[in-house]
Amino acid sequence: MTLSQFLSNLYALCWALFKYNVTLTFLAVLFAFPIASFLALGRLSRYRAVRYPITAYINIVRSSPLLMVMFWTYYTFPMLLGGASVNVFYAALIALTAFEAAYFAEFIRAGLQSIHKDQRTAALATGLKSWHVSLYIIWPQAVRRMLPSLLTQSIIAFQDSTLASVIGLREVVRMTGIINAVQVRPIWLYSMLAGIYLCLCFVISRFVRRVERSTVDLLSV
Amino acid sequence: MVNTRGEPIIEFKDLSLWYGNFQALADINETVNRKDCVVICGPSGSGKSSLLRCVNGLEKFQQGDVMVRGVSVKDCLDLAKLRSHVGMVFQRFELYPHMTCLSNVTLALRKVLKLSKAEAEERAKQVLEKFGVMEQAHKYPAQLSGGQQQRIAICRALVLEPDVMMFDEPTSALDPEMIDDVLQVLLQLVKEGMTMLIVTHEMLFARDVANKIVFMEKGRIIDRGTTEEFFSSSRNPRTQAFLDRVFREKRAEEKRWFR
Repeated sequence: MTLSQFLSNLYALCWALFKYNVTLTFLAVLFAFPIASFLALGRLSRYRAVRYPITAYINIVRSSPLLMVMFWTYYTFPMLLGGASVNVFYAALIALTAFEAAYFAEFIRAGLQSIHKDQRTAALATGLKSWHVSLYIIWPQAVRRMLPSLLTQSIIAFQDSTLASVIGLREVVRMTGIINAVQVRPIWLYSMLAGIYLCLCFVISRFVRRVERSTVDLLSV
Repeated sequence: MVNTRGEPIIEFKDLSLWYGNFQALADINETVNRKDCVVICGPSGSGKSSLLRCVNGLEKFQQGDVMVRGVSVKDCLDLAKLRSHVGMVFQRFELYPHMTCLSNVTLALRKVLKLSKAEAEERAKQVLEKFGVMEQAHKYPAQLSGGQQQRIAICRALVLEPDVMMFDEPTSALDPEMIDDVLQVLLQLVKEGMTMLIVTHEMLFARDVANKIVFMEKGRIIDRGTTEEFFSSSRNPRTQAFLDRVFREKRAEEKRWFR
């Protein structure tokens, strides 16, 4: 592989990575968090009519492979709903968001439940309204506790974003395959793919560890 | 604040509470008047904590009523407002670990009494200064000893200027060296005329500080009286057994300690 080929391949792969994988993961995580918060609260609701459907959704999605969820979002659901063709990126985004929301919901639920019940009692005893207590006392503590799990899951989501290649999205893995079909240099190309991915994951892990360390001190209770 | 001695602050009227099938409180009738210091004692599981929680509506009772400054808790429309007039201190302090001690104390001032940040901090600092924990204001609860944390918790409740302060076993989670610090604070509050309702096992302290003792067992009040009546002339055999055991344990502890 010549230097110019190497550089243009590198550019193409990075472009695909950021345009699709990174964007997909970022948006999916961004949307999944509020959806998951809503799911977590629903999971903890005292009304069975709310709790049962939400628990069912979470359990079904968490028992399914992401690949299957992507197929369903791209092929099956559109067919069932009238046969319109769906944009690949949006299908992948919906699938990844719905998938991660189910996982996030369990982490959020665990975080919320890990706060001692008497924190709420003590706060209410000073005359704070219930939503005050949730906003200023419960959620700040809970978020610090759930952050490590959420960040780890986000990294997993980033790695899983490559699965969108099977429904046709020109993300980085598929892009590598496409270039390889033309240039036939699998060892070079797949090593470059691995290298790019490793670098990015390394940077992200360092960032995550720094975030975790800054939240650990406050949680000595 | 009106300085009327004897006006009822808390009245329990035929109060009964069930947790499912288990009756935690049965036909509680009692009055706490202004400037009273009422100590509630009794074995574990007798409903003492539940009783306190009924006063500010943290427990939903099924029968009877509690009147706080003449307002019925059962029919109360604004429980948050009622709670701001009733201070409560917990066994495990329950400070908010993610906020500084100063923020712990000012949160309710800012959100409930709607004071500005500056006013709230001013008021908070006065109270913290009074109880000797001003130095800890900018630290986080985890950096403090148990006795300091409990004093901060007391400040947090006091800063709202409640009509009555309730203490749910305030010293039970403390090391012996720190119990005295907190009891001194309670003594100071009583001397200043605060109406107090204290659940405690510290019977020597109760003897010094309380003017009324209530003895509970299995959800019922089985003995009550002024401090003198309770300690010296109670005819109730269970009271005598309880006091015997408490003082025997104290003497045994002293024997062990001074050996």
